[in-house]
This record gives sequence, structure tokens and C-alpha cells, in this order.
Amino acid sequence: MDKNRTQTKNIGLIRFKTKYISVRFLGSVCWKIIRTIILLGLGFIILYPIIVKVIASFMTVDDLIDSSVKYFPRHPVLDNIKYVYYKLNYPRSLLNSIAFSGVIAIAQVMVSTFVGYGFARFKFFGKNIIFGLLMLTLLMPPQATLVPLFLTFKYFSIGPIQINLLNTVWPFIILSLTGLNLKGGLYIFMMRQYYRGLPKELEEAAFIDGAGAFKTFFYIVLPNGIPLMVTIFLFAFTWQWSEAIYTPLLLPNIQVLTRLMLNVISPNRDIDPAYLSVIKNTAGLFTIFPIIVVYLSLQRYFIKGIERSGIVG
Amino acid sequence: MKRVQKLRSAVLRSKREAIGYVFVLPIIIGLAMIYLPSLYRAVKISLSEISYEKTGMVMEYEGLSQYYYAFRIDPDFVPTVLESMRNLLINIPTIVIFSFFMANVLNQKFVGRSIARAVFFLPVITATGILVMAEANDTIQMLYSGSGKLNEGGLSSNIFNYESFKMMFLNSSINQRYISFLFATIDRIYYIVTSSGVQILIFLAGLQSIPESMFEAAKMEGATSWEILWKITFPYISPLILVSVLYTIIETFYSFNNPIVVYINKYLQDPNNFAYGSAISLIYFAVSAVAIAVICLIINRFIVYQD
Repeated sequence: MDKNRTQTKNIGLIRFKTKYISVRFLGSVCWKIIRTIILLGLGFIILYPIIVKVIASFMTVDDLIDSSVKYFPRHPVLDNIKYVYYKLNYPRSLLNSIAFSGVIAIAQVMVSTFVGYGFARFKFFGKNIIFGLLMLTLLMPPQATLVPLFLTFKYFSIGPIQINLLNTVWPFIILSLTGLNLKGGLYIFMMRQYYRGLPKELEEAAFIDGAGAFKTFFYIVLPNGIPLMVTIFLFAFTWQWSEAIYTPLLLPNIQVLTRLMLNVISPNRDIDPAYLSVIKNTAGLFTIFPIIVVYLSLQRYFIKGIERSGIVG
Repeated sequence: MKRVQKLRSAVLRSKREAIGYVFVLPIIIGLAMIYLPSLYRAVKISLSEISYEKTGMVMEYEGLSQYYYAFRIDPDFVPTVLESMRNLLINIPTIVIFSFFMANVLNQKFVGRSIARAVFFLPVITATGILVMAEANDTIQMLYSGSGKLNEGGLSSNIFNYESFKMMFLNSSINQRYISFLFATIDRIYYIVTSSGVQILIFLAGLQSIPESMFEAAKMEGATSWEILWKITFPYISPLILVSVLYTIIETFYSFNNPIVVYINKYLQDPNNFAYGSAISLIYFAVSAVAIAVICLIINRFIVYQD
């Protein structure tokens, strides 16, 4: 009886030992600790500039120069925020930005869906050449064609009529609808890969039932592509939101956040560089903030969409 | 009868071909009406001298003088191109390896995984376009990241700051080259972390597409994690390495961290110099096209394709 009890106790001890004092267990604990440190550290690196922006937006120049002040401003002020709010023309420019990026993102989504399907499912003469040229537009630094695009839109001609399209939204809409806007080729590539991964049977069934190519596209293919379309919309929206290559040249007077922010952050002889830096960071915060809110609420679509997209092959 | 059938299938095929053209029509229009003319114009501008008169802009054919200037006279252009190519060559492997590693980490199960994924993908939004432009050379960001000093003596009161730590090592007897490479990598960490968001996501998606049964079979056969990584994960992931390398290269074209982009922008924004700006951007395009081709050829040798 007594002997039996000690034996079960021993077995328990041995189980405990083999489970918790083995090399494998120690290794996994070590790895978990290292993993936590890495994730926290790198996460901190990513979030730090944003935290710094928040801190800076409450600081006065005196606080910035004062070496005893690091994270908590001694005299927190709302002046920077008020100034930037006023300078960025805030509620209005925010709405403009949403409308502008929204319209362009929708155009880009439409085109990439349509063209991506064309590249994925049809065979026609010169397909590879056209696709190659499209990829070339992606690999070309946008700066190289910036000035020619400027001239194209300044002397834009439809037949005999010549119109100056600068300072209108048209250049962007035309560029988006032809897949040439910022990273347009990338979206088409994503859509093409996605459609290539979809089973052909659905479309064949629709074809046998007598639906034409376009009917098949609108009723069968399009609904299937919605998850990736949402992802592409979000990508296009955010990248258009912070885009600062085409807008300053083609649309210099538009009242969107990036354009106004460019005015605010440009070096000025009358402004103290330290103060300019405070303003820059505050303006950056104002520009990022709406998009972070959008991202955090729709975050799963970004990740899910990429998982489903054919980028993976 | 056979002939009719043949004819009918030919008609069907050509009809389908025509529909294909309709689908890609936007791109054909864009390339033919806007992109290729713009490219042609860029080449033409780069071959001429631009001056302004009362009637407007005048372009005079000058031949290859802008190109000659870029290679022979301009003291900054060639070194800047070389520097950005060197940066590219260092950044590509570091970004790809880092994002592969992070994708593996984020693919494991742990508490707070979805938050970690959200944070690592955040730079795709916060570190693009104008925000990078505003952050580059910004006093406060430099002050707080510890790699710069404010004139009034903000950080220098600290003895144990990063700079003095770095100097201590650089003055020590350990081989200087390794130490400076190590610190160059440390200096890059922020850049690497913030520019690998999309790549992490690409690898993450790839990892999730590997069938679970593969890992189970390998484990049953007694493979270690290290062997599983090289014999299963890596071959499955390898086509994605090319995708993420290409994505990294494309990103650098838009990045205001890239010295050559800043250099080209400086000339393109100056109306008197944009002929020269066009010339150097075309040269940069040619150089990077060659670089991309070489990189693709090299990487293609290591990729394992499924089919």
C-alpha cells in the first residue's frame, strides 16, 4: 500500500521532469522570451516616430531645447495643433482628401479588375508585349515621365481642340482609368494573378448556359473578386492619400491634405527651424491620423485580401 | 462539314480574341496615347536645351550634351547613382531576409498575434510619400532617435548615448570593417523595418498556403525544425522571394530616402534644368533596368517552381 503510493508519486515526478526539464522545453521557453523581446522592440521602433509626433505636437520650442524635458512637455500647449488645424484648413481639406483619394481609388479598382481579367483569361496577339510594357511602367521611376506628363496635360488635345487640363482632376482620372496612375500596374498584376487562381469551371458553366463574355464577367467573375477589390481599394486609397509626386505638379491648387502639408513643411527663412520641426510633426500627425483610423477598422481586409490574392502564385 | 467546323472555331477564336482586346483596351489606350508619347517626349527633352522666351518654351536640339554633362562634368551624379545602387544591394537581402524571418515569427501562435500583425503592417501606411519626406532630416525625429544632435545641446548631455557608444567601438581594436558594417545595419534598422510591411505580408500569405500535411509528414520522419525550414518551407516560399525583391526595388523608386530620387527631383523641379533632370532620370532608369535584370537572373537560379 505504502510502496504503491511512493511509486505513483515517483511517476508523477518523472513526468514532471520529462515535461518541464527537457532541452526541448527550455529551448521553446527561450525562444518565446526572445520572440517577445523582438516583437516588442521592433513594434516600438515602428510606433516610436508616431509617439514622438504626438509628444512634439504639444511642445513649445523652449521645451524642445530644454534638455531636462524628454517625453513629457513641461508646458503642454495646444497652439501647434490650433495653428496646423488652421493652416491645413482642416475639416474642409480632410473631406477633399477623402473625396479625391476615394474617386481615384474607385477608378483604379475598376480598371484593374477589368484589365486583370482580360490578361488572365484571354489569348490575343501581342498580349505579352502589352503586359511587358505595363510592367515597364511600374519599373520606371515616376520622375522620368513627370515633366512629359505635365506637358501632355497642359496641351491636351482631343482632335482639333486643345485644352489645358492642369489644375483639374482630369489628369488623375485619365491616368487612373488607363492604369498609369501611381502603382496602377501593381494592382492589375495582383488582379491578374487572382483571376488565374480562380477555377475556370464557373465561367465555362455560364458560357454553356448562354451567357456572353461580358455577362459572365459581371455576374460570375466580378462578385468573386470582391475581397481583393476591397484590398486594392484600400491600398490605392492610402497611397493616393500620401502621394506627393504627381499632385504638386499636376494639381498645384487642390486643397487636399498632402498639398497643404507641403506648404506648411517647406523650409522658410522666417521660421525658426526648431519650430518648423514641431509644425512638421504636428502636420504629419494630422495627415496620418485619419488613415490610421481607417486602417485599424479595416485591417483584416488588408491581410485577408493579400492572402487570397494570387501574389502568392 | 469539317471545313465548316474549322471555320466556325476560327470565327469563335477570333471573336474571343476581340473580346480580350476590349478588356485590356484601357491599357492599350493609356500606353499608346499617354505613356509612350510621354516617354518619347522625355527622351526628346533630354536631347535638347530648353530656354524661355516671350512666346513660351523653346526647345533646341542639342544631341547628347546632357548625357555628356551627366557622366563627364557633373561631379555628383555618378557617385549618387553608385551610392543608391550600393544601398539597393545592401537593402534587398536585408529586407528580404528580415521579412521572411518576421513572417515566420508572425505565423506562430501567441497571445496578441493580430495586434502584432497590425503593427508590423502599419508602416505601409505611415511610412509612404509625403510622410517620409517630412520625416527625412527632421530635427525632432533625429533628436529622439538619437542619431543626431540639436545645436543647443539636447542629447549631448547624455554620456551613454548611441553616438558615443558607436565611437567607443570604432576606436577599439576590433576589425573596423565588421564594426562599421554592424553599425551601418543598426542605423538601417528603422528603414528596414518600415519598408518591409508588404513583403512580410507576401511571405505570411505564402507560409499559410503550405499544406499542413507536409510539416506533419516531415515531423513523423523525424526532421528537425532546421531541416523543415530548408527542405520544406524554403522551396515553397522561393518564388515569392522574387516577388518581394521586385517589390523592394519598385518601392525605392518612390522613396524619398533614396539619394538619387532626391537628386533627380531637385533638377526636375527647376524649370531651367529639367532637360538635365529628364536625362539623368532616363540614365537612372537604364541602370536600374540592368540591375533588375541581373538580380532576376541570379535569383531565378535558386527558385523552385512547382510545375
